[in-house]
Amino acid sequence: MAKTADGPILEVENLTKYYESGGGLVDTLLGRSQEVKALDGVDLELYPGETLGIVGESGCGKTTLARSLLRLIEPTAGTVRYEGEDLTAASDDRLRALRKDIQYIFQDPFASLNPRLTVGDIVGEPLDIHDIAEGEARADRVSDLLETVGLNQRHAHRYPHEFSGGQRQRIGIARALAVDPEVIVCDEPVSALDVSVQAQILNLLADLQSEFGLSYIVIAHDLSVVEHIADRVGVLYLGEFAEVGPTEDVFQPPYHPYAEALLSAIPEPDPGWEGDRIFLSGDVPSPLNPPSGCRFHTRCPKVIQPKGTDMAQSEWRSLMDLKQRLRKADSLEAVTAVREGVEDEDLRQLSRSALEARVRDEFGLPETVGDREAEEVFGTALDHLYDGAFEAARTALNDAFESPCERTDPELFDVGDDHRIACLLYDDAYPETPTRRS
Amino acid sequence: MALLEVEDLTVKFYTEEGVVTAVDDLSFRIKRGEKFGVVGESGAGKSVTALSVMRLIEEPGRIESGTVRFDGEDLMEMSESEVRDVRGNDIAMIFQDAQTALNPVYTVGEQIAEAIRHHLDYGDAAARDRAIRLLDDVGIPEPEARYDDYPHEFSGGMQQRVVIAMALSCDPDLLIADEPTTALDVTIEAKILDRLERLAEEYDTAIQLITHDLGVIAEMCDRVMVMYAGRAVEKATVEEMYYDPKHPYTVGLMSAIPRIGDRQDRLQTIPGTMPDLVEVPSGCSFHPRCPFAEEECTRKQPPLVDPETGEGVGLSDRAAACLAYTGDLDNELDYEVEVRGRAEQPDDGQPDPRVRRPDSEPVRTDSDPVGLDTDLLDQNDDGEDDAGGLSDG
Repeated sequence: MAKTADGPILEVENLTKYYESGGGLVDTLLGRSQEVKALDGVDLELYPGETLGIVGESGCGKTTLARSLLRLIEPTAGTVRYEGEDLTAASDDRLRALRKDIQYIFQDPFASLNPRLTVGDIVGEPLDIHDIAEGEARADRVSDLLETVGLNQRHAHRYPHEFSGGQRQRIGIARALAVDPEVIVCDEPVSALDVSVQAQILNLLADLQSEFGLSYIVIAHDLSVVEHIADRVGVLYLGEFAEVGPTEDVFQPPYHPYAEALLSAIPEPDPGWEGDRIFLSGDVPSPLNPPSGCRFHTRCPKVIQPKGTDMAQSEWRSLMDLKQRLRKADSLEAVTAVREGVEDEDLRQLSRSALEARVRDEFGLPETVGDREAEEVFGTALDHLYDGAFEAARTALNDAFESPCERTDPELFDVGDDHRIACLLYDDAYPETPTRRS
Repeated sequence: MALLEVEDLTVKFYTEEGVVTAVDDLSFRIKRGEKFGVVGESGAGKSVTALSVMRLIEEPGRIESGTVRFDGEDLMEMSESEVRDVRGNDIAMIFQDAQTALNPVYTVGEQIAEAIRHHLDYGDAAARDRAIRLLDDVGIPEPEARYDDYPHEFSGGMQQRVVIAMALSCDPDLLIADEPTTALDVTIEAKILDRLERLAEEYDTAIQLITHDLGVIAEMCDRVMVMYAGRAVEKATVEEMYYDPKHPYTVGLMSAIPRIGDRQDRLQTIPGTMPDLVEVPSGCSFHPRCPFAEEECTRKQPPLVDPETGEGVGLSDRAAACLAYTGDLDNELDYEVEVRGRAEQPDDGQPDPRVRRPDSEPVRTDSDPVGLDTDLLDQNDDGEDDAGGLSDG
């Protein structure tokens, strides 16, 4: 269902969750504890009857977002308004009442059902807790609910272990439906299921939505699932939204470079399909100490070149990789390619030109970099490396190769109707960028 | 020439609930350097097949019958020490969960070097050197520095790379990869598959790739075998499989996956779930879920035949196990398959299901202990949903 004229049913502002890390007592006393920035100032709206998909790699804060929405974990800052009422300020009693309207479906259908309760009691428990139905009415309601999700009412007397994964997920859905909610947060609802069962559950969710006018927030790592089910999509990267917009818009240009890479990586179930795959350098960085500026700049294939430089984008990416690698490393091994069949080699014995060749090899740099000044800086840095002066090499690279993406944390720029991308490429201050929509 | 030939393999597990026939009379062949995919849902017998090839089936499981010929030699006839020589050296395996495949108390480099020393009789320094090169090959940055790291210092994707490096360390002829990327993010998955493919080519290694992900198969494999309830239901090249599937289960799988760029509202589903292998349905084990099932399907087990001629076939020929091809059914299979790449997808907004099937009722049986989880909503497709639901809402 498309966005309606009504206001949002759920409105999230600046939602933030920091976890304490390294928190030994001594560390805490000395003020040395660090913060894991799992979720860093996320805004979103959910409109009645719509499905909002949240995608991203593991460790980017999807589940933290889902759980802090319902205060299953306490957010560090921010507000969550449900029909105007702030959940983060609600008392425990009030919160319990509000959870009647906002329900949660868990990822693991094996861990989220109490093995000691019958299915009837699992689905009936919310009815007891919220005083919705008793006795015969409760039994009727339970069988209705089971039937709604495609199970048989005979199943009410069985225990969870007697069911398959798909059936258990149906039980979880029936439990969520029991209190007649308005919003359901689904955390990876189908990732534990087989393909054919996954399709059944996705169809069920769609049917329930049109029958009861539900609004969903669906968290998933599988983009094809999200594309299928969601009306709007938010792409999370390291606790921040990289791109938000209607599903069709997010799945076609203009892209956030991260969303583009994610999309290109999906294996296509078609042997004749040939697409250009974008490989990102490295893994998702630790949220303990997220990169400065745009958090994606350490892996971004489109990381912006500083003013006045002019070289192939892949060369620029390679130079950035070299710079980033040197920040953490103090040995030549870390920045040179491995040679075959050479044992116990002392890299410090290499000639200047041999060392240069090995560094170029490791980072895929051509014989000469397209930009003359950049080539000179690279040469200087290499001189320092050759002399064993790592700090000097670092400084040379840091001074000369600084992308605007490292300095500026991009806000979400409007690129279309309700479509926003957090990338400097879409900032008017960088007008010459090729990927912009004309 | 055939590298691996499995014939009439049957594996049973003697559990308290009863005898589970995990693999039932399975035959297939993998050629040298070939990338062979095995698809199916959980419980299809994919992993048990892989473990049987390595002779790693443990109590209460037992390989009941069949031959597994590797390079002409029957693995079933070998002594335990001969098999151990084959494992790692000639056939290597990558498991789904890298974390449990690595020993937490040894450094990653040492674990790779150990395999090299053991199987290839290398000295310490040479083994270390080869291990570092392998780490570099699989795309671990700073391999020399990371040689001395412990597995917990690696991310999931990096751990899986280490496992791949270990599997390739002795230059095996066959690499069995059991869901190698299922636990990983798509961006990492893409990199690892790409790497695996290139290395297999470089080392001339055949791959048996086990996965439930049809996208991964399409990308990597030359030929595919689809398994259902312990049996092969279809064997074909990837092109045949994706553009012209012959078995109703394959058709169901193809239509159940959401595809990017496909704007249909509902996915086609296969009603029900994989049967309990203690009590496999009679006749064709797929008949309770099959939209084309007839009375005969509950009685007669379909053989793997050539779908064109209905004749028996050799180990690597195109084959499907459905009575429609042996002339036992009254009606014909009626479905259309259409697969289009993302790029050519016209954006006309028309609901255009790629695979269409008639909505016929599956034949009911009462063999399922919990009662068949037939998708009630799917059967009520056209019209009034049972409105019993939330009457008070």
